[in-house]
Amino acid sequence: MSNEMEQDPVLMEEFLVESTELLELMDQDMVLLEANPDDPEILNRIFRALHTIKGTSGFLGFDPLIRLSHQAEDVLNTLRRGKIRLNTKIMDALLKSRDQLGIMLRDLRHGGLQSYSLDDLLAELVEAQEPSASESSPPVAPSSRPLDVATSTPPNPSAPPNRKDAPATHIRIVEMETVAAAPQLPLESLPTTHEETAKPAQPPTGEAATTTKTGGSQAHTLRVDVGKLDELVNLIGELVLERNRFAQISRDLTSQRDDPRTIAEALSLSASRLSFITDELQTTGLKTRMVPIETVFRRFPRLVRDVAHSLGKEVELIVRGEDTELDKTMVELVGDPLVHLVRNSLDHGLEMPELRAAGGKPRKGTIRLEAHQEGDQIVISIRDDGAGIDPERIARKAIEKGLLTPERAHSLNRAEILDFIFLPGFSTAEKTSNLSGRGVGMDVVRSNLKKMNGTVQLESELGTGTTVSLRLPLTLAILPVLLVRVREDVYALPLRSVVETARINRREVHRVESGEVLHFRNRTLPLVRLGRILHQAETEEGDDRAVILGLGERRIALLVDQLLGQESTVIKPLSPLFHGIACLAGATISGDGRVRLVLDPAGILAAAEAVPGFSARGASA
Amino acid sequence: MSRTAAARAGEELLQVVSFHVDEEEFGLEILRVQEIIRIQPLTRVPASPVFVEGVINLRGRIIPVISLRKRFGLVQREADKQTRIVVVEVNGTVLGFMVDAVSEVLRLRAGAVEPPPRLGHVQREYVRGVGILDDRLLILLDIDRLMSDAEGELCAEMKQVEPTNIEETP
Repeated sequence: MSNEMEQDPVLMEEFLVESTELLELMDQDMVLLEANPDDPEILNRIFRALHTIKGTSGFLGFDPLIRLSHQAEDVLNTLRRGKIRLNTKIMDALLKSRDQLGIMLRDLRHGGLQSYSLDDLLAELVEAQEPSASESSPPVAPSSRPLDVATSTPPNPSAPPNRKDAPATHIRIVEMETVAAAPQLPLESLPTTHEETAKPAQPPTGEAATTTKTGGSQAHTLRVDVGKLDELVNLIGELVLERNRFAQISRDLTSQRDDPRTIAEALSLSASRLSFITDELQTTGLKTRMVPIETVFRRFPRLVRDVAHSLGKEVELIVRGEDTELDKTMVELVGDPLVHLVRNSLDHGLEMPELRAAGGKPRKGTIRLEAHQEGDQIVISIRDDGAGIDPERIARKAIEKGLLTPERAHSLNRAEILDFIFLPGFSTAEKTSNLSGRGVGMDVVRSNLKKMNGTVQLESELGTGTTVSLRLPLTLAILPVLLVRVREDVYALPLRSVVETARINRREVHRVESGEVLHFRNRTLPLVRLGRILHQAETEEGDDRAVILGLGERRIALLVDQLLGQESTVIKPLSPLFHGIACLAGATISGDGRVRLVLDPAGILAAAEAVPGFSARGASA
Repeated sequence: MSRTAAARAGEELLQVVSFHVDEEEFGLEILRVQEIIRIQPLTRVPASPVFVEGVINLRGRIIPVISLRKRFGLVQREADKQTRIVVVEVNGTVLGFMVDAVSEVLRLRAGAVEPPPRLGHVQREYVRGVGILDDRLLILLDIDRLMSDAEGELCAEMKQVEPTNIEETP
């Protein structure tokens, strides 16, 4: 047993968070370096990151980490001194080392270091430094063509090197030599880690925890800008002052010295100040949870490089808006869906270079990953200039799978047909690749987005490409709602799903074979009576107010008794006892202290819709 | 068990909160009770199990309230001045039990707790034992079991009562 379990848990957590972050940055920089092999700044950045990991590992006594980072650092040092030139072989060895370090960090988080056979990888690193190696391997392509490097051995990040054919004795000797040649860095060059101390993430009202759980092994610490914390502390100071004023008012009231009217005035003044401070406190508190989306985008240059390599495609990745901020919980949850989508674009979207050239497109495909804020939403889009999706093929597939009848297919528009892609088990890939095409992708994307109160939309033009847009609320904590009444119960509907509200005329409601529809603004919308789906109420009296709910392209009309207005609320989770109830998203507390239930528009839609395909679950492989 | 050990076990005191539901008097270990509150405006939850009376706001936390009358399949009764909500934590979740009235905190010798006999409304499996106190009988509830059975159950159907061995006395 190694000694890593005896480490101070705080120190250990800091090390893991910092090192994981550094590895992420290295990933990005390495791909950048491949495109600009002569940029000393990038090389230095990678070197410093690795050096920090090595230094802290040494302090904590994690032997395999030290050995590997030391050897990789050595290669970088040789590169820095210009003794060798960067080539794909060196790059692959460095990337493999980085991945191996990542595996070790993950193991550390999950209990402790395993035994690793590093000989092979170490040998590769040593070999990479030999000048002959750099001559026999083609040099890296110059800048502006970052990802079209051909390599015979695509790096495999998941497989630890465990071949046993490396000459162990050889390594030992070289290792001793490299120890002697190890660079003596001046102390100043060691990055200081104590200026930014990791702060424990505080969910806004302690309630975001339910969603955070899905993050799994992700770090539950957060780096917060000191300015934001100062602002928070200032506000708390003001809160304390206000409390003192309240205490004074209370004393005045008991002593009955002052005129009651003066006291009432002071009280109302104090109350309004208090409301101002708490509002500020709420926004500032939420701001501390906001992190730039860069932390998610960071992994994509590497991912695109590796996947493009293994597929033999030429791809350029353009990333924009990486400084867009969103809630920490969202950042964690949005990572996996984005990986799915980018892989899809790489695998199914972009064509092979020859095919592209034959079609009059540039050989190199482009994937644009963009984020920006739109009102209280964040929009992340993944756009490729690939083949696009053929709606007819989707329709055929849907009919084949029994999700659609040929007659119905004719009545559906493009967007509605493309929507089938998001059903579980629906995959149009003719042959299954190990990247995607197993039909587990898009439905997972949609359900993950749903968890975040977000939506996903897909647009595709045959021959020109596909764009997938994810829309997320800025934060999970504050939710603007529309209050509606059904008989004696008041419910809250998330405002972002409300398209419009209207008073309807009974003559506009028509019965069809499966239920009721509403003719509204020249459209026919499925009609749902909230009282009926929630309480099995039979009476239809009074519910003549319609709320038009929009979910992506779909619209439904929800009938309620009364519209009570809008409100900004803090959403709280319901007890696990109620998790089986699809129509409910959570609860909020109203001004009078009563609990108000928040409805889930998607759940209402599901409850109302009786299309067989929609409830088909577990069909995916 | 040696005689001294038995004697000591008999001397061990159990503090229980006693409350009434219908005709019966129940006991719940005081350490399990977080607080006892008066009845509050409840918000009913659609499509929830029938024994769920609704949810309340407990200082910013939203907790479900379970009606013990409904849980045991007893006749419904309007809440009155005596009605209380006993707030407990079960399997990591805080919830409230609605009871007819809370009477007092009692000390019970561990030796005075007997394994459950056959009971009318309450199923034996939810009973840890029966406390004998002078002329009264106190049913000690096993709330963990009561709630673990309740979870996932969409309606409080009376379950087949099977004899279970509940021998544990604290």
